[in-house]
Amino acid sequence: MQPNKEWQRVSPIATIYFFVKSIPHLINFWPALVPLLAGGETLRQLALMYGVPALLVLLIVSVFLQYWFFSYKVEPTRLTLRSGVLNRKRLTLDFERVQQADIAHPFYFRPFNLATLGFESAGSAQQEVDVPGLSVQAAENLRQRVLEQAAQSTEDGTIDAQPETLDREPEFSLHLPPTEILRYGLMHNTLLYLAPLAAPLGQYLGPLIETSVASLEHSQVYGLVTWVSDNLAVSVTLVLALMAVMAGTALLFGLSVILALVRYWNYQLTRVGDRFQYRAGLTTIRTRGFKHYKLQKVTISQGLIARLLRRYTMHISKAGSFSAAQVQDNQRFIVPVLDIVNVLLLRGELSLPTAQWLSVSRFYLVFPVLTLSVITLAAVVTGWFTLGAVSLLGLLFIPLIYGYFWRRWHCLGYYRSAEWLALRTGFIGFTERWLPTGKLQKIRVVATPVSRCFGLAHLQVWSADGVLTIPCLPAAMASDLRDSLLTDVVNYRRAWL
Amino acid sequence: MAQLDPVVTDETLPPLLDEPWRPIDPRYCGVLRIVVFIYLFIICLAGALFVWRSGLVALPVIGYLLGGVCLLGAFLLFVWAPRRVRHTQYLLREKDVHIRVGFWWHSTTSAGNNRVQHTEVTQGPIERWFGLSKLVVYTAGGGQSDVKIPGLPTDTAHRLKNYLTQQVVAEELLDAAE
Repeated sequence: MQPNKEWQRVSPIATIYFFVKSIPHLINFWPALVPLLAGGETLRQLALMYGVPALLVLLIVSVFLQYWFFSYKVEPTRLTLRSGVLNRKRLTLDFERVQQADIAHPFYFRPFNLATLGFESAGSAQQEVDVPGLSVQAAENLRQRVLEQAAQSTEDGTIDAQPETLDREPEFSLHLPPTEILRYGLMHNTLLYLAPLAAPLGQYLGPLIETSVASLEHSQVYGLVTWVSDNLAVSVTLVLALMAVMAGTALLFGLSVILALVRYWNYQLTRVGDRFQYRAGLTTIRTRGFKHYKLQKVTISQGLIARLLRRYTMHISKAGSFSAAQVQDNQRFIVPVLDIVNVLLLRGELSLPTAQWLSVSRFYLVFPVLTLSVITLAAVVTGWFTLGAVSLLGLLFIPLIYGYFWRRWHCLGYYRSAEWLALRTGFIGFTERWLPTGKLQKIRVVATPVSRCFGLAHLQVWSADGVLTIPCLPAAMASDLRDSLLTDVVNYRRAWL
Repeated sequence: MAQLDPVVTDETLPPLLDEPWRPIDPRYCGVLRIVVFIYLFIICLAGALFVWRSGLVALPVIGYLLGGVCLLGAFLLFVWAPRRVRHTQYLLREKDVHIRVGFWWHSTTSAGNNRVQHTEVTQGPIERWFGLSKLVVYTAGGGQSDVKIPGLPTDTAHRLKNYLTQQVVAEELLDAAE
């Protein structure tokens, strides 16, 4: 797509995009349901006869108007969008500020060879811009232009209009087969957090189970249940409950695997020059790319299940995603599953050195262990008067507390190389966070009253993507580390954002 | 610490601790005291209202509570505020900016001038009364990553802001030249 001074409209097929986008807004009409529920049968009849068609017409008109009023203009260094029917909006995005450029191929655009082009820019409020219904070729070209210009304008201030990396052979490429994606589904079971929500349902399920037990009695399954219950000497209800839990967990894992497959189907990571890009998805194929110099943080993590499967996950963040937890996986640059070989290869690509982790002071565990032990002791002593000697069992918690914090301390490590500052945390699994030292935003040394007594201080560093705390360093070492990091920051003269 | 710091070169910045840190204006103590006083006043008012509504039964309990609050208030007014002001110091160097604060929780915050996104001078009504301002230096690290220097005489705050802005522009020119 060449620069054009004219406002252009997107393909009419984009109305499907606006339609899909509008559906969630229908929820705004929920107050209309109140009179419907309160009102009589005739009101409901009327609503069905006139209300629903009226709503549909409104939706279609609004979708058409949204499409009609959506236009864009491509200039050599920026993209301007006009949108909105009543509230007209005009948004200007400088290519230089683009952190990430995506191309999504939703299933409804694929027959027409169209795509949605999405940009993310840096700033205190992260901004996302979508241009739906561009032809795949145009979207690809515009994305290339943006990424090239973003790089070149920061390098030498000139703009090369001819994107050339499009057809270059990738220098690094990684493909994830479905078996690996399946592992990701098992490793990152976000749905598992929903499980406690299902607990209240238990009280409704109870009677249901009882009635179904009656009907089960004659079936094969019941034979199995009674066999288990007879042989293990546990009650039928317990066996049934355990089976229900197992079935529920299996269902959650199944769903999680399906979600993972939909999101990361045919995952392909490539590097051309200093540009990384991945392409993945089943219903919506997404292409996401970023330039190496925009990297702000690399996170390598391995949870409990991932450890059993011997797999790792890597997140590469750019500026702006610090607005924290609500940034979902599908908005970040992620390499979902890596075995150890691929971790090493990718670390090489990102030039992460091999870390020699340094421990922080043992005081890290002394304070929490002492406090919790004192609380436990106090509880045991008060328990002595009411419960008697049984309360002494509470003392068993103290080794557990010690074991927990010792493990946390043991897993905690930091590493400072010429260009990176890394922190490793964990209990069973681990998370490694790597920050390029030249790009640090702010550094703070904190000494609390307690830590000061032991000559210790905490070092906190802010990157453009989140904060990292190295606790319990000897005070002198903390300020030396601060001075040396600060030296790296002020001497870093390359483009960083 | 040699293994810690492999990049010690002649470009290494001088250690921070020995630099001539600048204290903030002692009048900032007055600002802190008024803020503490306003909080005390609100709490006492709430206590008095509660006693008035619930009758004299609650008086002893509320009395002890308010006594505790007033004791804490006196501590904040006469010990914490002056010490806090004494412990707040700032340092502007050619390439970086620093602030250290803290009565019990000491913290030293530093940012490189080449990471500054924008700077701001703010002044609340109480600060205006004392002729003081606060200099806020923003970096790109999100909500918490700003460096705040409170209790500066207003003209000093503006002078420092101009100085920083010049430094930032100079850094950018240097970046562009390289």
